[in-house]
Amino acid sequence: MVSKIKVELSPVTRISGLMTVEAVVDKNKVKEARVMGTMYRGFEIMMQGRKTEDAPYFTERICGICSLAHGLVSTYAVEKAYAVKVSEPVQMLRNILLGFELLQNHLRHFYLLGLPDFVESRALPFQPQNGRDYRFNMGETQRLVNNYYQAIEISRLCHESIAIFGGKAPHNHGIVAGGVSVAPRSDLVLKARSNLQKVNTFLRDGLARDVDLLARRYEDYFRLGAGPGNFLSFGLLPLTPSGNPVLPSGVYYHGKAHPLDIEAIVTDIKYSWFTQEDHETVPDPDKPGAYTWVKAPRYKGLVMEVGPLARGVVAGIYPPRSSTMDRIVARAYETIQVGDIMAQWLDTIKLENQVDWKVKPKGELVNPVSVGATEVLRGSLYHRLKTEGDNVLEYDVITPSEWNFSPRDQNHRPGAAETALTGLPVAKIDRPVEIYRTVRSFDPCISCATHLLTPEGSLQRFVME
Amino acid sequence: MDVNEYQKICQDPQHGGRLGSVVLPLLKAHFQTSKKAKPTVIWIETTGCSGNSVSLWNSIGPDLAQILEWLIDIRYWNFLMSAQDDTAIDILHRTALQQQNRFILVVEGAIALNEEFTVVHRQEGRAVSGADIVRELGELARHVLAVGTCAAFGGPSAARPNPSRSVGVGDFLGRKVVNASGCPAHPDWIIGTLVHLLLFGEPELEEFNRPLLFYGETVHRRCTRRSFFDRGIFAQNIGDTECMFLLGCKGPVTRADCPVRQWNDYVSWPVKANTPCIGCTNPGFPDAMEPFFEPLPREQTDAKTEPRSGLWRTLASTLTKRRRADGVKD
Repeated sequence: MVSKIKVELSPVTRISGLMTVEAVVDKNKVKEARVMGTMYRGFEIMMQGRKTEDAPYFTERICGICSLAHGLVSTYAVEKAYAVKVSEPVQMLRNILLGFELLQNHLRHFYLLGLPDFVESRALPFQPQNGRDYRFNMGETQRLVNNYYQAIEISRLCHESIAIFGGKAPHNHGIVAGGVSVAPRSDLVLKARSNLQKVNTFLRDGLARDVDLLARRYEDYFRLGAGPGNFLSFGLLPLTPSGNPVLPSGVYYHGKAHPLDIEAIVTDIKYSWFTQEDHETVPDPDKPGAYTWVKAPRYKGLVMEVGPLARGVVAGIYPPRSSTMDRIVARAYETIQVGDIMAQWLDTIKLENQVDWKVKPKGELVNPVSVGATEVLRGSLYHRLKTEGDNVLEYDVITPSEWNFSPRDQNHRPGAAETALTGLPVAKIDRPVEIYRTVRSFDPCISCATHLLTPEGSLQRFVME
Repeated sequence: MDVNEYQKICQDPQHGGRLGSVVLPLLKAHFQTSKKAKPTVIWIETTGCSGNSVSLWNSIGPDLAQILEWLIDIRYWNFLMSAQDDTAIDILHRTALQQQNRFILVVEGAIALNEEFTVVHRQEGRAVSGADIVRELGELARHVLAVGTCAAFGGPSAARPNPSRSVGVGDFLGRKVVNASGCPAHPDWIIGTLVHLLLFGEPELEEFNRPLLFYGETVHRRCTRRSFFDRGIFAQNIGDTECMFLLGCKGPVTRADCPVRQWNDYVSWPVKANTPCIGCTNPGFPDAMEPFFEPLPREQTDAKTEPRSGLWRTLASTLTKRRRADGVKD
């Protein structure tokens, strides 16, 4: 009788993109785990030679669930290249749009993707379920299932609100280099505000109570799924080009918060399907020892966790803990916080006729290397643009899911999710719900995670905007 | 209801595109009288961004809950289904065999011919590529529906230099594939086509195998800013409220009903948002539609859409300037 068992969990469903988890389980404990991102498209290679102005619309196509985030961060990079500064009201409207993208994502993640791990019901649309350890009574289950369906409508309202200013969602048109294309006319603001009212009501009456209930019933998950204990944040929702974001940037390690130094980020490809040829990283699916298309970004050599929990810890508004349940709770907490501040913004935003909303022309190229970096739905997103004339020479992206779902690095240290899985108890090997709940607590987005970064390309120092 | 009536509803903007209020009672009656089960759908995600799934979640008429309850029985959908790992794969294969020649295969995403670039899952230690699974299911399905421009034509996944060697599902399978292109596809295009397949069989298709119902006319032809174009009044900046042609609008070469249907609860669309159409439903998108903000070369605009004057570009900018100087407001 062999006590060590290797399990291959594939596909991990209810996530964005394609993922497989391999775990070695010994005496009902995960001894080691490998998280595999199994799709690669090569957006950075595609970007070379395109017009810089096309980058925001083009890079939105990296991801269908967080497309506005890519478009926005790409817009920041393009604006920096041409030294375009946008006004405070423009920044506020962009924040509102990113806020709606964040709300739809967090709601869909909690209800549509995460909840079936904890709730068993014939009234859920997809049967059969193959989890176990369902702890809610009939009344609670009924309530959670109702809210599952309610979340479909509420999350849709968030995307409708993006379309009001952006033409459509996913892949909106409204955020462009130099500004926003639709100025906030009072009827548009009113419509978005009315949508937000419905969303915020649901966040309080639905999400807040449901997460609270989940945290009580699954209290043991506060002690499971600890990540590396290091947290990184680029800062969430920048207010003005000169002002501070709603949640500050920073890094938390060795038990305390430190200022962020973007140059300390290095990407490792030891276990990724890439090889280094001259100055380029090229795809190499046959590379011995490699097991994923995801690369391994590290900060000062440390494995970092990113996302709502990391933002909360760095900001000092969430205790520096890391667990499966802390990730879920921090995400819900943040959702409510963001919904509230969006309401304030929508109530105070300057209208169409009150300030100049004209899109600014891009002018001459000032910074041939420029960076856009901010916190988005799942964590820290970074776009780096190298421009020649009006064309993209190089384009690099580091997404939140690359941080969280990175493989081992050259020092053989596993990535954040792999760390969280290691040591996890698995009561029943054929239904390893502990693994699924923990992986999903990071809100994986594998469409985003599989990218390409010139590893030696030292990341330019940037000022958080 | 007959097919003509159904098609009229699909195309009639007076319905606000609200297919649901018409189609749902129809389907309920259909399933009751025919005693037929809801049609089985297998939704496969290959080389793409999941944006078409998200677009369908944004559907309002019918909404996602109604789609799942009344319209179709989606047995396999990586993004949303409850089951996972071997159980999910088992559901996939069992459904395909039990419903052979009856189920509808929906593919979201292109097919990467570099097969290691898209592994949809691993089975018994073996990598199953997007190409493998679509090839297998494509032989068993009654209809194949390619949703989004990646699945239809390769789309952004196949953008040059196309590192994953991605192609559209139709090119890959060598069988009839109905395309509902768009980046993403509008939920009504997906649902309207599915319901047509279900109640009346294959809809009439244009040369790129897209239903004429939704892809019969150019954006330009039905554009709400068409009168500006005809009078040579062109926007000079993103955010302006005139014709977007000189800012790169690809409406003249793009077939889609965005101007009359509009997006996300029918509130807006790219030109209404004061930006150019970037031709996201087209074969060749994005490469053939770039640069996004530069006007189409004249030879690409067909006779019907070609501006009237030989000096149209100069004229246009003069007109716009004069209009501004005159303080003309919309």
